[in-house]
Amino acid sequence: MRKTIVVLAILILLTPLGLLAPGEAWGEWSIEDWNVSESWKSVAEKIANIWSAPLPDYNLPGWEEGALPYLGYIISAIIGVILIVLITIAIGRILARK
Amino acid sequence: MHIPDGYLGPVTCAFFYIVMVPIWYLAFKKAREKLESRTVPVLAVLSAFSFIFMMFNWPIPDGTTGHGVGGALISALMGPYAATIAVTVALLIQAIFFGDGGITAFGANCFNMAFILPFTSYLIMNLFKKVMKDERKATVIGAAVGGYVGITLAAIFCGLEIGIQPFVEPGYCPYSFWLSVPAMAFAHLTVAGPVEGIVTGLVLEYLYRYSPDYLKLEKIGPKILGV
Repeated sequence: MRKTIVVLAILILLTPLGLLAPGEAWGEWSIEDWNVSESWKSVAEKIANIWSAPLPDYNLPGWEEGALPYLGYIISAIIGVILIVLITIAIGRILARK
Repeated sequence: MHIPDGYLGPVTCAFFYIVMVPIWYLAFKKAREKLESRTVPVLAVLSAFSFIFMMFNWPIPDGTTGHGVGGALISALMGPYAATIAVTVALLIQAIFFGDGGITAFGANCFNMAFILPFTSYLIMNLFKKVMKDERKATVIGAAVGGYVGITLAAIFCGLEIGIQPFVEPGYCPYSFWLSVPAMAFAHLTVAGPVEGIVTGLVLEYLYRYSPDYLKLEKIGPKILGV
């Protein structure tokens, strides 16, 4: 188990490498960038705004300068991993044979 | 491959939630039968691995980015329903906390990454196990090929879902499947597919060498091709 935690920690520290790829994923643009009329976008934008994530784009709000996005990415990875491990263990505890 | 909110119309979103309900139900039902309490931490770590793996964006030659999912690895180790649960949890956290993938599109995103990917890779791995005599080679190569094909198929489904919008529910994603399917297929055939396949194969090969017990975990999934 200790080895697994070390591997996860190393991977988390390496995640900022994932920010180096230029551009963004196909089909994950902001709706305002759609090449269509404003009237087409209005309903889609309403749906897009139904939920505001607390850490959008795996970063802390406002951490745009210098190395901050990389640090925000690592912090997001840590928060995400902790939440996922807790939820999966909770689900597993409920489901698993004793 | 994370469809944001606003790209799919309400009918499409509802459709994929409805499709996912029986899949989630079966995944939990099978897990209740086969998941052992000592392997729960393994599932949790695999779900966390999937989440971290998806944070590694790779450059695609057309100027976009793509990433692996880890669904093929989880499927090979613990079975496709275990992968459904693990990837669903990762996608849920991504949608709620990081705005990666929409809340309304969550059903569709789970269908692609937590169902199509792990079940396709599992089918292909079992095909290799049927044909090849060497179980270890069949698992490593089969899961790697399965990961490559599975994530590409998932990406094509993603492209179809957003690409039919202008025809079935105008007012949402305006780009047709003539654009979206080739773009999604290209990104995954060239980069994200090889990433998913190679990482799946390398991790399995490593585990065979140094922690072979992980290859003997009970698979939570349907019998496919008698395996």
